[in-house]
Amino acid sequence: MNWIIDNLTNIIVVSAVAVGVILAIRKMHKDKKTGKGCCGCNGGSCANCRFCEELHIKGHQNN
Amino acid sequence: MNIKIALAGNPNSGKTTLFNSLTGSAQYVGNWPGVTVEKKDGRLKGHRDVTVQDLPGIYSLSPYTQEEVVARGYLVNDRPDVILNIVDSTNIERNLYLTTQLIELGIPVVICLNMMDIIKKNGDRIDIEALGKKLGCLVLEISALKGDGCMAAAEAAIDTVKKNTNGNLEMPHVFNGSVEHALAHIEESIADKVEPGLIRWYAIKVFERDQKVIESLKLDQPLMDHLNEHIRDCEKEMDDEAESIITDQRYKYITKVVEQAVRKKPLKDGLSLSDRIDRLVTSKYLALPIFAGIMFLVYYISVTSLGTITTDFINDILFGKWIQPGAASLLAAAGASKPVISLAVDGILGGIAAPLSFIPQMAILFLLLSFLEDCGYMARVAFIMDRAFRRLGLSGKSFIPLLISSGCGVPGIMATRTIENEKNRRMTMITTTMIPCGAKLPVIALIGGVIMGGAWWMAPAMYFMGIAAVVISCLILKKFKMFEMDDTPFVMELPNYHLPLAKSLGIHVWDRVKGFLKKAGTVIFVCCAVMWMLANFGFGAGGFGLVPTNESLLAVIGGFIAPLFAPLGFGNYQSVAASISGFAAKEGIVSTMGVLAGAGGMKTFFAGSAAAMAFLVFNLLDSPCLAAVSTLAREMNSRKWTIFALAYQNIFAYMVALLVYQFGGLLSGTLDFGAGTVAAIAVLVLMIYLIGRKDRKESEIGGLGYELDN
Repeated sequence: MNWIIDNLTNIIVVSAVAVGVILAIRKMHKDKKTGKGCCGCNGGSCANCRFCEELHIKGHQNN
Repeated sequence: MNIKIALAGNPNSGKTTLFNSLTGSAQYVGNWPGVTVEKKDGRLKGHRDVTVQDLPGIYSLSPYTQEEVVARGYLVNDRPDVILNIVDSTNIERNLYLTTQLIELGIPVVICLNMMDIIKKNGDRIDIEALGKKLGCLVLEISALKGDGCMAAAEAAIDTVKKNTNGNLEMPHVFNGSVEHALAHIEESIADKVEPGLIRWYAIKVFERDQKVIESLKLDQPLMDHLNEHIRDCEKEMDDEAESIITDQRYKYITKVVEQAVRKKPLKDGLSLSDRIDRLVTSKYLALPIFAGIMFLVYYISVTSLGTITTDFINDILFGKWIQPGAASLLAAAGASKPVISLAVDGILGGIAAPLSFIPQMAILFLLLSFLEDCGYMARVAFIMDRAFRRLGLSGKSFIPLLISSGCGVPGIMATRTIENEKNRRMTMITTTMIPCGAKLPVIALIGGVIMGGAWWMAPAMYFMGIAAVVISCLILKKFKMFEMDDTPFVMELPNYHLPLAKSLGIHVWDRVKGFLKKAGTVIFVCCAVMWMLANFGFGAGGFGLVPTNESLLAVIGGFIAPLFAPLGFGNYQSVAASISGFAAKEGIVSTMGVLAGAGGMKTFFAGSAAAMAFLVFNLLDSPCLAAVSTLAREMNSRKWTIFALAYQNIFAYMVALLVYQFGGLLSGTLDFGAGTVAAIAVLVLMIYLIGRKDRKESEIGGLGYELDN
């Protein structure tokens, strides 16, 4: 218990970084699954590459 | 009532701009033809029951190109309720050729005369009432770029559907009696096979002997023979082929309509302002120097002069003096241990700050590139490059992917899909990522600014080096049998110059910056955390745990690979680790260097400026980031070709970096003549041989010439 109290700041910072990494990986995985940003366009500047169409992602071009 | 509005028109007539204006979308708009190759839909602003469909630009409803197949398939099979036909008023004759065909589809057509502001500015006049009367449609003026009249046009289209007003108007009399006679026979014969509204269009297509249409109608042979007799009679009378008769009569009709509705002010020397600018920027001798000068300025302004001021502020003051020291003191006061402070401040904040500080430079670069693209200059560059590219075995079409790659290599690789010739396409895919993309810009700025003392020529030089690498690669590759190809014709319409809208430029820049910020929060964040762990953990005297960086896992792994890069001048684990993280995302190079910089700073990674240059050149020319590699693999659709592409890119990058370090070091006096210099000379000789050796095709032509001469 004392160890936890002594290292509270360390635990918080390390946990925050760990949670950040997990969230970042989760976001990357989710984007890969939905195809968002798969073609580098991030939905907005679609280069009409038809990549989404091949991945069967309907509506991605109109994000 | 659900209403479907289709936007149809010639390439680069402003359909996507109108689509964005009507739906509030931010679809990519480029000032060159062929930006839209697929149809897209969106909801009309303020009307949940109205769908707007953006179709690819087409010149006719004949299935000659992929775009025409897509557009025709939609118009004939899906049958929108109304067509908004966008007509480029500055090229009205050619645009009306498609209009005459759209009217025959039996779908109400509302004509939007776009770019009327240019017509008025030129002192020309279009009588829209006369035009509407002649074509049997409602004609409206719009300026898609400024958004003038766009919603009014959509409302008029909805009204046309609701009131079915177009149904009462008479079809224009495009064809003469002889053609109409044949068409009447065809219409009679196919009346029970097609929808009443489409009968006229199908009849004309059968008259033109459009095989796809004839097959879709499943006409039996006796009937087809009978119809052919009528068509042949007409051909005999007109002394021409059926398809040519239709084309010829359409243009004759359009000429008549234009004569009555359009009044053009005589031009000085017969040239418009666009023509006069083109005379200069596309001239045989000045075109390339002008392009080089413009690109030099773009990179000089964005990276060296204006960009540096903002980047220095973010890097040195915002992060260097405020955020990082502030966070360190805060954590220390809260009782955090030294390694944890190092993780948060050096690992995460330092790693993310390094690429983030280059955002202003990127934003300025994309603003300038978008300006050149939107105003119409880049379309001219594709035309200029066609001359040069043909000599390299590529067509001007290959320039478009290269241009897109200056933003991001992934859509650049995708854009090669417009290249029909497979060998040409493969060669473009292999070389297109050699052009510095947005993510490579921080690496250039870092080496140029931090390590080489703000060398002003660095950024433009790296852009031209990218082009030179493409040229040299093409000269080497085209000599191999697997890339041997015939010239493919490149036809591209040059759009009129116009001043881009601030909103459109803003969308382009924001898209890029948004993508960069997203990467900083995902892949770069993960990269920083992993790199910090690898740089701080390892097997020490007390087993696995925190160790000094030079004993860390990163030092062990990097040190194992580092000797491979020693001939390039950066045989240390820090540079190798940075290069490896560049394979995940190119921004990772900068963030890893930020994490590993420590007290000595980044300068200690390189033994002189030649080594720093070699590091930069290697990382600009080697295989692209993971996203681009997976796209490359997908587009190549062959494991063999993907492996070849990656091997070529990395070997080529290694060879060029070797030349840069060895000869650069020798010339600057930091390196003595040795085994590395001998290797560099051997590489140089090999490259000169590969570039200079005779083309297989030329040798064969030469051989044939010899035979003919004798």
